[in-house]
Amino acid sequence: MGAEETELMAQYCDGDGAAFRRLYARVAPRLLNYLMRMTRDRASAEDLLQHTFLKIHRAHRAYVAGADPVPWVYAIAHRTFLDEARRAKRAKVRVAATADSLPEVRAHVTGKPEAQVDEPANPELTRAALSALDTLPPNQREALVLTKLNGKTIAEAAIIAGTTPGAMKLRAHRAYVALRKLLGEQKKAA
Amino acid sequence: MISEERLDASLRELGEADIPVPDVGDELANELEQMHSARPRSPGRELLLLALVSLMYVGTLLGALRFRPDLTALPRLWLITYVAAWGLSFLALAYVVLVPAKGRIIPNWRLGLLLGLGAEVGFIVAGLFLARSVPGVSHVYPATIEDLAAHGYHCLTLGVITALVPAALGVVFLRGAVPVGDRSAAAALGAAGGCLGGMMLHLHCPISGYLHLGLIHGGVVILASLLTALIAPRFLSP
Repeated sequence: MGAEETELMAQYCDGDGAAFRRLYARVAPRLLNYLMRMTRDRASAEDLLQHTFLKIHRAHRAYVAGADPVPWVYAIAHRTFLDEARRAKRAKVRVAATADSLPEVRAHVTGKPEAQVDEPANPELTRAALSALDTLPPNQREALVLTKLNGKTIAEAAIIAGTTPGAMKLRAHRAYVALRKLLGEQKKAA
Repeated sequence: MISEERLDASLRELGEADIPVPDVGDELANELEQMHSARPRSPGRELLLLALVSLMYVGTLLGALRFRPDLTALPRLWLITYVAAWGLSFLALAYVVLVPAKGRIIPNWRLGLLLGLGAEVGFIVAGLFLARSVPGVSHVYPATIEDLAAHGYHCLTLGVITALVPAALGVVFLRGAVPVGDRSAAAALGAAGGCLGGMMLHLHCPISGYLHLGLIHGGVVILASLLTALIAPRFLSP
């Protein structure tokens, strides 16, 4: 992974818009998956995906010839998610003040908003893992999503999240242990 | 407890879940239609350009403001070593922040930040303990806060003005390249500029008191670093 993205990025920087679309087709599914696990909301994840690619396009002059663009793309997505999370946190008070005018969110039978519930196509454990993943703190969840779901190495995940490999390893380990514990408890309760 | 193999398999399945991706948005599609080719960054060339422009700028400033009057009377080894330390710190910081590892786009901003902090502490300590002066030619004022403030303002201003050009040029080169660690990268760029400002002051300012050398000339690195860290991140992050 990486060589084809590098080639596509070079073609895109040469002014080939079709190469950008091919790059989008290759990277966007993984990025959307990452953003969905982070935001726990499909609509927000899709918005962030568009923001991320808009930023990539506006900053494509920063690309270094021959470099793998994927960690940079993920880092932009990570930053976009963090900025949006901060903005949403600040806007909470304003939202509460105008809550009456907001449309009601349709709920799934589980009690979660419909947009947060994946179709039950996966096996039981995968579904349980998904809901357990949602309960982890954001930085631990991100560590697990990057290393276990998206297949990044610890070093790559550290670059994306702007932390040290040691800290990333610790976060991923803690998240993994917490997830196993949660799933074990759920199994016992069932 | 669930086995690691089973959990890993489920997590992999989650990661490989086939999620339909929306099309490229209208705003982006419009911008793509109007795009032109853009030459990717060439970090080595940018470093060379930054070094050349910065040194020419310092040369021009020194030409306009004159060298310190005690320059030829000062211990030669001390003078050269000190100037080399300023210059090498500037180059090392600029290299770390501008030139990412092979195959990467994001520079090693963490190392840049650490080097910047090292330069800040190092030049303050060096100024406090390694000050030299030539009796009758160098200006040495009493070691008081009042004297320090009275004679420090000009040097701080001049040092920051000198730091401005390399820091701004570095920001232009790195625009959009640092989605994470942008403040640290900016601080390191500012520290690089501050080192050049320190070098300029070392060759221009005749005040040789240890407090002035340590806190004012060394302080230029901190001030330039802080200012750049405050202003530049919005340009470095895409």
